[in-house]
Amino acid sequence: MVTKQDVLAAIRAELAGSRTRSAGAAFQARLDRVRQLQVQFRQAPLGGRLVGVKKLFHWFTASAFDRQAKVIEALVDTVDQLGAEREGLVQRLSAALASADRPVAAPPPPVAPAGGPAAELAARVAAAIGAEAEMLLPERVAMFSLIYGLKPKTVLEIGTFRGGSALIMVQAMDANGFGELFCVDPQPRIPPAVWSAIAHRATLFEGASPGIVSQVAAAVPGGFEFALIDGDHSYEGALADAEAVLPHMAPGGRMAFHDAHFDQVERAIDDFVARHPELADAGLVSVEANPVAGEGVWGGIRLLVLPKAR
Amino acid sequence: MPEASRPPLTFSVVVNTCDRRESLRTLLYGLEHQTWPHFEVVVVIGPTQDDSREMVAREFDDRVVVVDCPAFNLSISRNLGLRRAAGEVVAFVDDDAVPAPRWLEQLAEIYEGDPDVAGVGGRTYDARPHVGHLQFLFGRFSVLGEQEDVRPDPEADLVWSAPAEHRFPRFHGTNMTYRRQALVDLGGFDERYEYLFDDADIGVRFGRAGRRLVQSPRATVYHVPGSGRNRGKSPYDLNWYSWLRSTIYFTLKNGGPALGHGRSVASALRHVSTMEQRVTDLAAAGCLPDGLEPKARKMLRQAVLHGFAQGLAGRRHLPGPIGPPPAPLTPFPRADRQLPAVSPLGFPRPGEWLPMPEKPLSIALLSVEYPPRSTHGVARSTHTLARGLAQLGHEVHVITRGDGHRVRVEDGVFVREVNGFGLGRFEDFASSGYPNLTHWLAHSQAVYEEVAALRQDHALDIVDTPLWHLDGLVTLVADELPVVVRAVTAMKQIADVHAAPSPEAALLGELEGDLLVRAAGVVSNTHATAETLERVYGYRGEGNEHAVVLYGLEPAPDADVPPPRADDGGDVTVLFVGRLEGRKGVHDLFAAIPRVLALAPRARFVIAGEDNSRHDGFFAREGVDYPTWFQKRHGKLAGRVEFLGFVTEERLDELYRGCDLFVAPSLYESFGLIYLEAMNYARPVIGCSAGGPREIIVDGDTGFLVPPEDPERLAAALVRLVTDAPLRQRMGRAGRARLLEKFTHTAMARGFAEFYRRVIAKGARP
Repeated sequence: MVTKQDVLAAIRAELAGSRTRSAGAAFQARLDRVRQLQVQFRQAPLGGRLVGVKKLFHWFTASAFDRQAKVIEALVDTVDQLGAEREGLVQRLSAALASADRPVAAPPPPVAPAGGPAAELAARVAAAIGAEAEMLLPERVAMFSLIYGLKPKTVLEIGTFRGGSALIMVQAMDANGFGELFCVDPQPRIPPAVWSAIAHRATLFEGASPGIVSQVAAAVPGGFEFALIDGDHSYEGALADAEAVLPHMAPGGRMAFHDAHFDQVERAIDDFVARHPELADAGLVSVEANPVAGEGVWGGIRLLVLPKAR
Repeated sequence: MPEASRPPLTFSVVVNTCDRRESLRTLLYGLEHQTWPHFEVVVVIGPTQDDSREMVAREFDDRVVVVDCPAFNLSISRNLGLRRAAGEVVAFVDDDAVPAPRWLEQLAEIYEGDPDVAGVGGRTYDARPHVGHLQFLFGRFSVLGEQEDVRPDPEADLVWSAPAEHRFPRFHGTNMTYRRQALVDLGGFDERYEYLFDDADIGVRFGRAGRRLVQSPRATVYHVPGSGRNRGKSPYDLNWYSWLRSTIYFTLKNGGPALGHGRSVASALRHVSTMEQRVTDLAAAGCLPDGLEPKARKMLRQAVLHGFAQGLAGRRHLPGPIGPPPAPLTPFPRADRQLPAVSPLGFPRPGEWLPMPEKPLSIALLSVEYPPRSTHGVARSTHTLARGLAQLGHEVHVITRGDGHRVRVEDGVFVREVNGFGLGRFEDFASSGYPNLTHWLAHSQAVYEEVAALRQDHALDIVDTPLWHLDGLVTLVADELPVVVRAVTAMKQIADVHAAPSPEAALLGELEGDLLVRAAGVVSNTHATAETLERVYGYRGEGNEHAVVLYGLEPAPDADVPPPRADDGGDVTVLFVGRLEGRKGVHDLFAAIPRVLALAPRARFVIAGEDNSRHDGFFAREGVDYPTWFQKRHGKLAGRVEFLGFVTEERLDELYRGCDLFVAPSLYESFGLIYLEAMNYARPVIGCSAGGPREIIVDGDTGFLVPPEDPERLAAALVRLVTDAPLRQRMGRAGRARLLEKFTHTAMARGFAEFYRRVIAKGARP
């Protein structure tokens, strides 16, 4: 039983120690460095920005504190600042990347000098950002860092289609050195080049969700630590997918919804959250919206967090 | 044997300026606060087009040495300042920066401690609002033009092509000081650098000459990078020419002699391709519209030609022999007046540069939460107090929680963010079942370390901590400065209300009690809070200073106060703001509404606030939340009662402005800022005679006070105001007048400042 005297004694012991210390100072230094990198990242042109992303990941994952929350926070922060300070830059970059339609099998060359783990990570980030996926640039960065930061061992993806987001997640898993991806899609159209880049981590289940989810779950006894729901975008479809996935999630798992700005999906998530008060709603981890005339507003990634114990 | 006879070290602070009158003015007033009095100020004014010269003459008369510089060239300007300088040390600071008050004092200590030291540089923050990061600390430069500006760990390895013995400390141009004689011996600044690399070149030349340069971890300068001729309108409309030419010239001139021409040329070529790639990237990203790309490329081509020619074949442009100072030192400080504190963004009240009756205080306000992260509770009142104190002329530092260490300036207030996560202290408590205590103490420790660092830069007088989250506990135990506790709603009080307090909450309560007893002083926001402190903690204000200072808010300008709505026979809007929960008197309001509508059918109720029925037991009892309960019970009245749920700050502001009267029948409020918000817009208010509202509302004058849990009296008061437009108008006006008289942020700040002075004067603590 800790008492007031214990606390005061601990504080005095701290104060009696060296003031400009070690663990604290080193840690502070690391945080300062992260901040500086964020600034460089903001100011850098595209090439430099990729290096910046790599460095950010490095520093964030190297830090000892609440890693998951920090990665997401930094990400949102960075994306926000990009949006706010370099007006239109993000949109232009996304458009450029989308129109480039580059073959996925040949990712853009790494920006850092060849060789070494830093260059390797830079190459992965570049490949993830350059992947042909129906995702905005901030969303690609968000998906990569969610997987890279949260380090899930088992990931479920509902709605794989051409495999773009799968490739982004696999790149992050490769950087982690582990991870298994379970892809669900009724009519997958994964090009051979993409499949060869993800096959070593991905298992494909061809079939319609939510029906097939329990079959997938049977292959993963511990439950999914992360799920990306990007399938049927109707209200009923999105809600049914979410409900089907929830029982198969591991304790403390995360559920991410793509196109969370889309009216029907948004309502489905809201109602899903209302039905399950045990879920924590982390909100939008990628806030950019993608309005398409005649269709509605797409884009946005919203994250729900399951309780640690069920 | 101390050399008692040696006179104190003298400085010449040299400011090189052009067309930046306002920031120059801020800097000069900022220098009035230096704690080391032995210095002069030399302002070298370039080919200026504003009235900088007249401003200096008018406001600083003959205390400032003014030198004219005919060229728009920073190195020429620096050399002119050096020639004129009479101090033993020349300290350069930019015209868009302000040094911390102990800047010269810290530098003097290093110079006086070691006569071999040729130069000292310190840390620089980019203190712009929303920025705040370290801009410079322990920066390095290699002879091949490689640079790193922020190196928290000065021992960390650099992955550079230049070998270790060819990397040197460099000082940031806005925070670099050298002994005058050392600069003269070195030959002064190379005037080939019109504005970039001048600082790096001098550092590397000192390094190669084997002179000792010291980088202080403090000696802080706050930089607010301003606009200027070298920074174009587009962020990418840069002076590419100067940038690249200086880079090439620097690399060849310093790298060649050190490492041979082969390596220096190779490095210079690498710099060229890096910069060219930068332009290509920017162009590809669409950042160089309107002919900026061809312009940039043309500048780069010219820079290559000139850079290589000057670097390989040209001579350095040194200023020629510099003799002894032409005139004796012109002392700058004036001890006969007390000026308000200056933030790097100028005085908080523009135009008011008037002397103060007493020396301004330097105050650290603690609050874990602070805007924009949070705008409620302690965050809000700390923000109000900070702005109020700054506007009164005091130096205010808010220490709050952030992702890492930052110092930014907002409205004259220094906002210093610290992060205690990962400090790894007090971890033992976490494993023994006190996880939150661990976090609070880690933050408290981080706060203490920031206070300690802050005291090296500023002459801090006092620390003020909320009775909440233990922000100030470690600082208080360290017992190095007077610490004042600001009491609002007490954590222990809340813990006591909740069913069974956890052992952690109980321990926290004990520690809060300790804060109260050990603090040099305690400020309560109302007499009601003071009574609570006695009841909950047994604190009676014995043994230390105690005062009640009423809180306030920053009043809206008169022009923003909407006129009372004309009585057009339509709806009369009654606004309620607060969480929907028992403590806020929701039951009484619900009971009163049908009675009001029966007698005054024009009333329309707008209820703004989140439902909290799941936490106060209502939902468990009734099976529905508050809005649903009301709608089921009084379906017919549903059209007259609107539940808005959570609303944003902006929306809230609109609601206050758009209502006719305000009601919040809370059973208890420690203060009651919501009433002031309504009074701010000249709206009459109804509250209960329990706690803070008694001290805010004058019954029958600015609104009505009714007993708590008395729906009938509440309904009667509501009916009276709904049906009497002239009364609403009169009471609204009286409320606004009362706010302006007693509840402004400056009135609150004045109360606090007086209390701080009392505590400081008393000095001795129990």
